[in-house]
Amino acid sequence: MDTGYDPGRIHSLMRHTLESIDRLDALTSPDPVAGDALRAVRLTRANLEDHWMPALREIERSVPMVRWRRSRLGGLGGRSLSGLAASLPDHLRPGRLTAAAIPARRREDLLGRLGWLERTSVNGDAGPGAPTEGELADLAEDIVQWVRRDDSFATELVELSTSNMTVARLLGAASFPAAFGSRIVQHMATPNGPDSGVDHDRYAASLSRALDSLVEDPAACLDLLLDQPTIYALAAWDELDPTSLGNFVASGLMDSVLADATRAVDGFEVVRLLILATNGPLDEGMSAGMATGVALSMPVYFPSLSAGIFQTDGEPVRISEHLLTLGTYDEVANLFGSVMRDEEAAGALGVALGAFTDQQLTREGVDLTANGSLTDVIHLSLLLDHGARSEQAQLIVEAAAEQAQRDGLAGLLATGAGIALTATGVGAAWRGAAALAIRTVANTIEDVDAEQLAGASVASRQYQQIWMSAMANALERPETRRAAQLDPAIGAQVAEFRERLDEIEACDDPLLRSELVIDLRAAAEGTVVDGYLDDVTASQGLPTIR
Amino acid sequence: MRLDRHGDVDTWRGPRPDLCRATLARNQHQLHAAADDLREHAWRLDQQAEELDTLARAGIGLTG
Repeated sequence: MDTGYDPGRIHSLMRHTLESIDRLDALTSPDPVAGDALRAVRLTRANLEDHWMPALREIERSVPMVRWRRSRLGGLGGRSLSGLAASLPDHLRPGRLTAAAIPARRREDLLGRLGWLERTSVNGDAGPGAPTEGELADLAEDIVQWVRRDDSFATELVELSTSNMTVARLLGAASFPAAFGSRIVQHMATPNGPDSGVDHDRYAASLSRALDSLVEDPAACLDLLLDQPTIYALAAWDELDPTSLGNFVASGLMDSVLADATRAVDGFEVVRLLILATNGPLDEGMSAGMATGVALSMPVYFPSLSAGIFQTDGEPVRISEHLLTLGTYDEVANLFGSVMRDEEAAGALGVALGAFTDQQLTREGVDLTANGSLTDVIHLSLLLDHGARSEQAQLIVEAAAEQAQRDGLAGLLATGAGIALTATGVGAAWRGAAALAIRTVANTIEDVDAEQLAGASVASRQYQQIWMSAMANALERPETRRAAQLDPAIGAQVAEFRERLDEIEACDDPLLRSELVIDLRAAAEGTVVDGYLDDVTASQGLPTIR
Repeated sequence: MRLDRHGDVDTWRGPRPDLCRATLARNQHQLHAAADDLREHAWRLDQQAEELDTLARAGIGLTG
C-alpha cells in the first residue's frame, strides 16, 4: 500500500479542517424540521474531530518524514462542501460569533498545538525548528475565534502566557481583542511574571511583542499605564525591547490624549506614578523604552507642566486645570533626571523641549517684551537642568532642542491634525521625525570632549533661542529700519547682524553655535537694537542667565 | 469547506487517509441530502402558502 504525505499540504489541510469544525459548530436552529440536517452536521463535525484531526496531528508531530512522491492520481471526485453554506436556509447559516464554551476536544487540540509550537522554540524564536510566521498566524487565527467566544478559555490562555511564551507572540499574528492583549501584558508584566526556569530573554521578547500589538489602540495603552504594578514593572525591566516599549508608552501617553483631550488627566496621573517610582524604587533610572516613550510624549504635557512650575526646591508642581499635584519641584526634576540617563531619551526630551519653545515663540500675538511671556520655557528648562545628572545629558537635550527647531518639528503636530491624520498617525509621524533629529544630534556630538561640556545648560541655550528670536525681531522693527536708512553706518551694522544671524542659523555644531551667539550678543551691546533687546531680557525676568 | 479538495491523494495517501476521505464522502452525502430535504420542505411550505393565499382570495371574492 502506497503511503505518504505532502508536509505543506498537510499543514494547510489541518487548518481547513479546523475552520470547517468551527463553521459546523456555528450551525444551529431551534426548528424541529432542521433536526435531521443538524444531526448530519454533528456527525460530520464528530468525524472531523475524531478521525481527521488525530490523524493530521500525528503526521504533523512526527519527526521522521515519510518520503513524499507526488501522485498522478486525481481526487476522488464528489460534490464539494463549498456550496453548502449558500444552499442552506438562512436559519442554518453561520452568523456572528456568539458566546459559547469551547468544546473539550477543540480546546485540547489548540492547547496541544500551542504547547507543540512552544517546544519547537526551545532553541529560540529564530532558532532551528522554531515556528514560522505562517504557523503562528494559522494558530492565532484558530485561537482568536474562541478567545472571542469563550472568556474562560481566554483566561486560561492569559494564565498560560507566563509559562508559554508563544501565547503573547500570537497577539501580533491575528486580530485579537485589545482587552485580551491588555490582560496578557498585565499578567506578564507583574513583578513576579516569569515562571522559574523560563528563558527570560524570550520572555521579554514575547512581552515586547504583546506591547507591539497594542500600539494601535492608544486608549488601551493608557489604561495599562494607569495600572501601578504594570507601569512599575515596565519601567523596571531593562530587557524589554526599547522600541516596542517606547512606542507603547508614547501611544498611551501622547496618542491617546491627541485623540481625546479629556484623557490628559489620566496621562498626568501616569506622570505622577512615574514621579513616585523615580523618587523611590527606580531612583537609579528606568528602562530605556519607558524613558524614551515618556520623553517623546512631553509635547502634550509641557504646556500645562511648565505653567505649574512656580517655585523651586520643595514647592509643589501643580497642574491646576486637573487639580493635580505632581510632586515637589525636586521630585519632578528627578523624573526627568531619570529619563535623561538614557541618551536617546535625553535626545527625545530635547526634541520635545525644542518643539515647545518654538510653539511659544511663534504663537499668535506673542510679544517678547511682555512680562513673562516666555517664562514657562525658562522655568521648564531650569527644571531639566536641575534634574540632569551629567553635562553630557544636558548637552544632548540642548542640541536636540535646537535640531527640533531647525527641523520645524513644532509644526508637525498641528500639520498632522490639519491633514486629518489619526492620533496614532500623528504620533507615529512625530516619533519618526524625532528619531531622525535624535540621530542627527548623536552624530554631531559624539566627538565632543569633556572640556567642551563644561557649562552646558539647557536653560541658557533656550534663553539663547529666545534672544535670537528677539534679535531677528529687533532687526525688522520699523525704528531699526528708519535708523538704518538715515545713517549708513547703522545700515552697515544692521546688514552685518543679519549676516551673522544667518550664519548662526546655518551652524549645526551646538558648541560653535553657542559661541557665535555670545559673540553676537556682545557685538549688539550699545547699538540700535540694544534697547529692544534689554526690554526682552528684563521682561523675561531672568537677565542673569548666561 | 472544501476538505475533499484539500485532503485528496496529492495531500496524503494510505489506509487512514482513505478511511477519512470515505467517511467525509458519506458525511457530504448526508449533508447534501439533508439540505435537499430542507429545500423540498421549504418548497412544500411555499406551495401550501400559495394554496392558502388562493383560498383566501377566493373566500374574499365569495364574500365580496
